[in-house]
Amino acid sequence: MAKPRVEITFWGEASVQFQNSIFTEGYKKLHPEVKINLEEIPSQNIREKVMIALATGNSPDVLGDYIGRLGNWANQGFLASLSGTLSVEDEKDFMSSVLNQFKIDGELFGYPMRYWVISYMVNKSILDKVGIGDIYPGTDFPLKDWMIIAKKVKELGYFATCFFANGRSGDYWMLTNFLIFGANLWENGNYKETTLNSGKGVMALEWMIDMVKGGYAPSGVAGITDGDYLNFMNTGRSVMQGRTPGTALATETLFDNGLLDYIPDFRVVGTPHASGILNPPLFIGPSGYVVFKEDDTEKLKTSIDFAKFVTSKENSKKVCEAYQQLSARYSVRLFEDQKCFLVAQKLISENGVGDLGLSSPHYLEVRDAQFPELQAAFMGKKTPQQALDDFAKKIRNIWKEK
Amino acid sequence: MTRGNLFHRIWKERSAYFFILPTLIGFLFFSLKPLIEGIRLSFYEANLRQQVFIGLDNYSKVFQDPFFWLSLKNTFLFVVVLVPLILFISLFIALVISKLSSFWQSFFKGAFYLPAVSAGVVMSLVWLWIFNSTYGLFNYILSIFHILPITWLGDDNPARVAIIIVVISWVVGMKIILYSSALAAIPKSIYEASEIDGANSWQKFWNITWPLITPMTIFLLVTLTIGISQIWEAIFLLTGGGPHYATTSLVLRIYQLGFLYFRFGEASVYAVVLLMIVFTIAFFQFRYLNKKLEF
Amino acid sequence: MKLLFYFSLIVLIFLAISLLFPLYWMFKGSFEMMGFAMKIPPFFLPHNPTIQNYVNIFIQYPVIRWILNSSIVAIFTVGMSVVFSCMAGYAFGKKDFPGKNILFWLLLSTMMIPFHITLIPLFATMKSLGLYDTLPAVFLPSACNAGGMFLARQYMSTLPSDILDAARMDGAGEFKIFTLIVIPISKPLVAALSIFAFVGSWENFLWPLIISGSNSSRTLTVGVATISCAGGAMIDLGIAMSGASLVALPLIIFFFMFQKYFTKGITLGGIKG
Repeated sequence: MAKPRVEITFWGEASVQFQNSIFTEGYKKLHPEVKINLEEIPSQNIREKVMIALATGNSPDVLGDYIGRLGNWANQGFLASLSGTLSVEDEKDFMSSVLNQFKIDGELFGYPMRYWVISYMVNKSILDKVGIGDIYPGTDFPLKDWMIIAKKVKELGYFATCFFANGRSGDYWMLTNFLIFGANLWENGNYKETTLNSGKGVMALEWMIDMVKGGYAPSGVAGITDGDYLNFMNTGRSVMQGRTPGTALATETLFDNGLLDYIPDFRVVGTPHASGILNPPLFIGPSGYVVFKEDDTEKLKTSIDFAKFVTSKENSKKVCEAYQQLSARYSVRLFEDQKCFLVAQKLISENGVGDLGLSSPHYLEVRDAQFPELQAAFMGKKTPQQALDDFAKKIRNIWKEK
Repeated sequence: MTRGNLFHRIWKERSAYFFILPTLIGFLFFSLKPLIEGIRLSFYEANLRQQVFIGLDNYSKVFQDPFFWLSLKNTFLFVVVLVPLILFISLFIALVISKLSSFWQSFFKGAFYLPAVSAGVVMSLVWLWIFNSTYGLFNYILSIFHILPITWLGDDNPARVAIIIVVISWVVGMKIILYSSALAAIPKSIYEASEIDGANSWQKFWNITWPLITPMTIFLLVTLTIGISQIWEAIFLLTGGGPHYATTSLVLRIYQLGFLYFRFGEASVYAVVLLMIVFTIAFFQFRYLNKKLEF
Repeated sequence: MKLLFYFSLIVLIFLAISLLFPLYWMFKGSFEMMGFAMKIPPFFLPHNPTIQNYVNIFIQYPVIRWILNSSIVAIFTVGMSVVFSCMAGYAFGKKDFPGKNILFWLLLSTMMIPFHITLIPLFATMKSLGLYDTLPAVFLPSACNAGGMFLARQYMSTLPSDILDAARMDGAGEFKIFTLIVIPISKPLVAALSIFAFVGSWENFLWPLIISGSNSSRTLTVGVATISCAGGAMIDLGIAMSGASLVALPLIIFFFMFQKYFTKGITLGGIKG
């Protein structure tokens, strides 16, 4: 066997569903002269490892991760520019709303692979049980209908939804509730000033606190974790919330694993909207692959080639199926027979994609700054206006730092 | 002391240096550089890309940051509550089980030690479930006694109590084992002699037991103070420093500044301050209790 | 006094059971399929007990390799740490030499720096020594642990000096004295140091995670974390719990093997002669 001419390092997310060695072995077959050092790292530790590597002057060559963390490295200038490396048809094949998140000032820094989408879902089985199964919401879900459902399920001891503020991640789940009143983190792509403390945002937070007081959502929000948030609906204690459509496909697993004693019917519906507010957009969170800057041009070329291989159509299909996420490529059609994903995609095409600023500088700091303020509001330590204003102040301070 | 005298002493005791040599080498390779780096960076504004010397500006910045004082206060709170509490609990338990048969001693030591072997991510999931306000085990038990549920992690002081409970469960086992071995070292004859003099249980403890276990007490006191001032895992996994910063400790803040915001200079300032405070406390603990040792 | 004793005993039993509870829950959960572990009202005995989780772990992942790595790291950590701690503790506890106090506090101060600060420089050192992704890189930093040295010092400082002086007058060398006299009467210390070193090394997560890359140097704790998360929300709790149980089991076995040395104490409280 020929001695490897080029050696590159590839760091991927360790996952139960998917082994990254499929990529390395597949590529080796095509390019036997390339040696790929694979490291699979638990996703909650990837950022630490990359940071420590960078702090000591090392880095992997190719990295696969969630955009929220990749944005870090891009914004600090560690990534190689991938502009112009895609063929025209390839570039057109990637969804623009996803590809744009991998661009900073027009420069492409990564190839997208898959993305999750947060859509609002209801447990129709409970609605049937309670007797309102026939009026369950469709793709237009006015808030007043939400309240009707909430009141009816409360009578039988269910929570309508769940809020949480003790999260290490999962900001998008809570932000979906803000979307109900038309409020979001950012407007017009300006990541220096948040718009969450606008009148709409304050109304949203006040509504959430009222829902908790009224018993429609569990109390002690400041201590509820993101895992709890999902568990409430997974164990049939709450009826509706924003989450990934893939859950509708996993209901049998929930039953087999004893979380529920029946197989529930989860349906994707439109995100609720208060009166006067248009149908809210959906949040998406892509994951992709980036290449680190490299002086050795041979290595750089190989790394880019490898990253392209990984995000090619065939590989993309395999990965997305395993993760039960949608592919960033138009040509890769998945879950075509699954109503939940079809509805979600329809909602995206009709209402657009919400801007989380995932690849903005300081995204992680912004996410970190949210939860303590939400905690203060839910604990009653601050009024919603105060909490959100303090959040806005924190963001201004974050920008002042650099 | 003249120079000649010093060299003479070094030569005379040269064997001592060989005994500490391995530890010293390890220190030089693996601990000295981090120590120096940590102190050095505190004078720089440093992120992943560059380091700029700004001298004491970092310190003034940190001292004006309300989060610094907040995390200092929380850390202080944990130390003041946990150190005496753990010492007291472990000594008390060690005393009680010292009267039992060897089998029961092992059982209890095992029971208290085992929680320490399972600290980690999975165990904190179990603890999160125990402390859950709505469907957690604690509140379930409380409801059996018709007590209102407590929002454990959702409220300032309950969250601190939760952290305290978890840390005690992880730490107390080792201390009990150590105190047990210290107690077992005291010859029974001393107690018997004092009984002849008519000493009661309390006098036996205060005049015999307590002084004789002082070296162990010193060790536990100092290492506990050092350890508790640095708790991180329990806080990060259970409350993330919340709710609303109620449990943010100095080390948690160091983690945030260094690992999340890439502000290494400020993180180093926190570390230097922590080092100086803990060092001072440990030094005085050592001196005070060592004096007691000379009887 | 008797009443207080019996009351304390009852409290103790209650405490012991409460503290054991989370551990029991984790073991129980490893024998159940995911969701039953955290149900309320709780199942106190395993519901539909199954070994499927363990089967899954061993079949799908190189768990044996991880256990082997953890074992090698543990053996070296315990061996080096116990020997070095005893040596240094003996010097600090029983000898007097210039610079003793300065060196002692210098070494002790290494415990006072949060690990997050030492992480990056330590990583840089290892990388420059070419030890990235090797087993020595995992165990070397813990081999010179100041806590062990401190405990050894406390212990040794209370050993009777006359025996040592007598041996010196008989012409025995320092090293002979150490190995033939000091160590044999320090069995409880060695036992305590061994167990602390073993537990610390076996449970260590952050450093092995950072310094290892592939399965060749991956330890059990890191491996379990790798398979516990699914890059998102729901993790396979069953696998996670069985993985954590695998980590805990050797520690429990080790404890029961060594614990008899704890019941015999020797002078750790200042008695001379």
